[in-house]
Amino acid sequence: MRRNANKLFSPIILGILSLFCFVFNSCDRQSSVEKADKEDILLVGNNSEIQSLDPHIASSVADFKVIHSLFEGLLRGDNERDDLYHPGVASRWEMSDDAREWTFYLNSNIKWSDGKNLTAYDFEYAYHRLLHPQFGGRYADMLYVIKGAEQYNKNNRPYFLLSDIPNVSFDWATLRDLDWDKIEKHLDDPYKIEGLSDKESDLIWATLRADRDQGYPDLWGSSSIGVKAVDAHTLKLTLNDPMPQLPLLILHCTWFPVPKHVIEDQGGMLSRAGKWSKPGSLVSNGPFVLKEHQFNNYLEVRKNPLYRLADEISLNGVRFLPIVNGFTETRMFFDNKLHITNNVPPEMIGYAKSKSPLEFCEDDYYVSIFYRINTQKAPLNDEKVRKALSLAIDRDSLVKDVVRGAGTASFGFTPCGAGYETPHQITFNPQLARQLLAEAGYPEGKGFPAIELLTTSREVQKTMAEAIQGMWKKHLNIHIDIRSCEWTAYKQAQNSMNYDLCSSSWSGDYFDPLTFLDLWTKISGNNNTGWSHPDYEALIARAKSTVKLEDRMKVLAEAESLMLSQMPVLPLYWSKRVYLKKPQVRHWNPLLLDNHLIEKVSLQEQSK
Amino acid sequence: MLKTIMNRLGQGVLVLFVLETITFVLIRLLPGHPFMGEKKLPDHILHQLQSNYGLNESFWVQYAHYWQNILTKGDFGPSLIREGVSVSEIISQAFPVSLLLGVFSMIIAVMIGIPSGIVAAFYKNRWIDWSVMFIALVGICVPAFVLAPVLGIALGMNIPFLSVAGWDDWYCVILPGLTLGILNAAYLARLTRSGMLDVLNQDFIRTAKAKGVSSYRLIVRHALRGGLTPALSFLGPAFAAVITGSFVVETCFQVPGMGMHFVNATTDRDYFLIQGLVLFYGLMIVVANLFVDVLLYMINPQLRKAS
Repeated sequence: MRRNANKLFSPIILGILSLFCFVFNSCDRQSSVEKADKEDILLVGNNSEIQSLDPHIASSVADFKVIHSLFEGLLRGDNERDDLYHPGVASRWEMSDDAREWTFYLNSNIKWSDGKNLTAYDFEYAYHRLLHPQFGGRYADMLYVIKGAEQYNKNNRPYFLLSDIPNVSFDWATLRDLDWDKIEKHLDDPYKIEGLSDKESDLIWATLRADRDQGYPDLWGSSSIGVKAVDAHTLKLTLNDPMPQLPLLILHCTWFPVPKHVIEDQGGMLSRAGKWSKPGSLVSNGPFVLKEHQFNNYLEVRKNPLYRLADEISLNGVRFLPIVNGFTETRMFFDNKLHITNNVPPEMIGYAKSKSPLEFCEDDYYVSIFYRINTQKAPLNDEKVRKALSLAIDRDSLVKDVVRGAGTASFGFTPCGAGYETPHQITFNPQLARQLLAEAGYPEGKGFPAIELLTTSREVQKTMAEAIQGMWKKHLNIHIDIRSCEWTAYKQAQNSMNYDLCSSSWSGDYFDPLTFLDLWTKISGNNNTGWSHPDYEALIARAKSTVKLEDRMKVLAEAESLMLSQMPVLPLYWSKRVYLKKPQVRHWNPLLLDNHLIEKVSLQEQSK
Repeated sequence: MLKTIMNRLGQGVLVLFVLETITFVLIRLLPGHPFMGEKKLPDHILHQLQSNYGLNESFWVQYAHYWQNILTKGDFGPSLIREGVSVSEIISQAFPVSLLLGVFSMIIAVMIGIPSGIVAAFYKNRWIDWSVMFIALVGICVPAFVLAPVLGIALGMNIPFLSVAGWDDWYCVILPGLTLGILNAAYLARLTRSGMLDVLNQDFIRTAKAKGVSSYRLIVRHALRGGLTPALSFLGPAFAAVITGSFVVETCFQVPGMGMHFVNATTDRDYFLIQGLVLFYGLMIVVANLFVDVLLYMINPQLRKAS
């Protein structure tokens, strides 16, 4: 019996001993950061799981960050300043005097990561694909500055068909207002189109019929489209308006090339479910290539040996971790699992700052936080009420107490930068607020109807709403209700203007105030306030056609000033990006657009 | 027995069909659509995207296509948010992770929960019973979003080989597994205690005691079979729930499992993904329940007699 017991227990004892050895061994285990330091791999928190690495399908900030490391456009941004740019795939470029015609000369030895040559045709193919009416590119409007791009994307066939007729010049400005849907329906029983001669009318019918009989062929080849690959190394862009700031615009991912040969091989131009953007088949031209992707775990890119400046890249790779929860991310940073986090939640700012002041970073960000106002609904259709609401918000207190310093109280709507002087028009003046409210018919807040503030379910937004609710109660004696709902429902309510006040934010796509001010034009799909003003439209149009930078900025400031005087939005603060960064990470500089050139980043030697 | 199983399977298929139909309708009744980005889409692009995925067809056509694709091609459709990735791919990447975590946490739950339930029942109304049940009650009351960060900070930050979060090594399973395990152990302990008490009060136990059967033998040979019935009935669905992921634990520990997809697919209105996940979860519940039924049938002579 005793021998049996020994037989039984000895393996158990051995097992326990080996487990102890294993655990002790594990105690010496290197942290993820130490391991990564040795291998020169940067570990970056990337907020959320990516949606797609196809630059034409991608739409989240997390997508764009990875795409920036994988692809390179005509030009490359700067690692220290948002308003600088350098040669990318294009080694030099020329602008016509009116800033409408741009010619990019491509570096002749640029290669895709599979060794094939990258040519101007890849760029043309990329813009064709994003704008193709049957592709459904979400960010297609980024390319609308190109001549004919918007018409092509909206499949406005008469525009191209009629402008391509040799020896006849139709004036699109007069034709635009014709009822094209009706004309389309009457192709087989034509009538005389009002305002045109018989000959012109007949020509239109014949052209449209021929188009239908040919099965509506793709119109990309039309001479009215401003993208042309002149040869393998020359790309010519013709724009609608003068645009000296085009180089800053084309730093955005939507302007990157895509590998024509791979996409055509894997489903074709219009396929959205093509496998070309997955590990194993993704071919790119940037400093890094895709190595591995595990959903909700990590995405790893490795140095691209065929990149034009491969010798200058210090990192061997980057691992992007999609950590949604800011608390988890902060814990992981302090447990040495990350070099750089995506953000520190407001509740953790005090802790993180005191625990590790040297690793705590607070960078300005090109983001404006504000409340949209539904200007179509009473009582908010009254300008005085809107102004009163704005004047009764103590923005300094919001920044200090609610977001714990992760922002700057805004005095206008557009964040400063890019040579733009934001007009100082927002102040805190409860007395004037009460006076305006009384003038609007609500003295001491009496008789003010119930209005609702819509927010998402994010904690910081709810706290912000409660703080502002308190300020309005205190200073204006009015009560607002807060309704918070999950993101898609919130967005749906905002888009359909089913709200009174709505918490909002906007981040600049490119480094120019127009990315903010374009929002409030009548045709902007993101206006959603019901506000528009003919003078504002005229000023924005004038700014778009102004070549001289200072003049342009002045016109834009004038437009913003007009918008703020009518207050369709309540600007609150300009957000800051608050994150944590290990000291060994070098050349990760504060950038307003947060488009870091990861290929310039290095991990300091002595830490290895 | 076989008849019962076939019967249960038939019911299972019906349940899955109804479940899937209800999900199909409900997800489409929610406000918004899958292509709701940060920026509002122009109508012509939204229309194009919807037609790419057949979402502009009538409800019945969409419904028929959905079943047709599943039944003829085994295709659960594409994810509408992660374009180019299929629902099957997402489930096949996330399920192994959740399965590993689920099995590990269930082992912990069973190892802690059942013995403590037995001990509590055996020492009924004594200090040992009170303390076990108090701890179990605390375990039931403390939500995962409290326990997970507490364990992460208390253990993960201080014990070098434990990881506060992430999924890059074998030891990453310990803390999330412990969190899920402790929460389920608390339920198991209470269920085991009440099941055991029912049995321990019965006549045959008194007879066995009178005959001088040792305590160990009394519990293991006589009481355990019947006493475990409530715990086993709980274990089936609990196991199915755990292996299909927990959103809170996954978010707190950055585990790439199925729970995150469940919540995100709903808030993102990823129609095909949520339908696929519900079907998968439903299937797991049906199978787990069937398995528990068979197990109960095997250990409980009364059930055998009844059939």
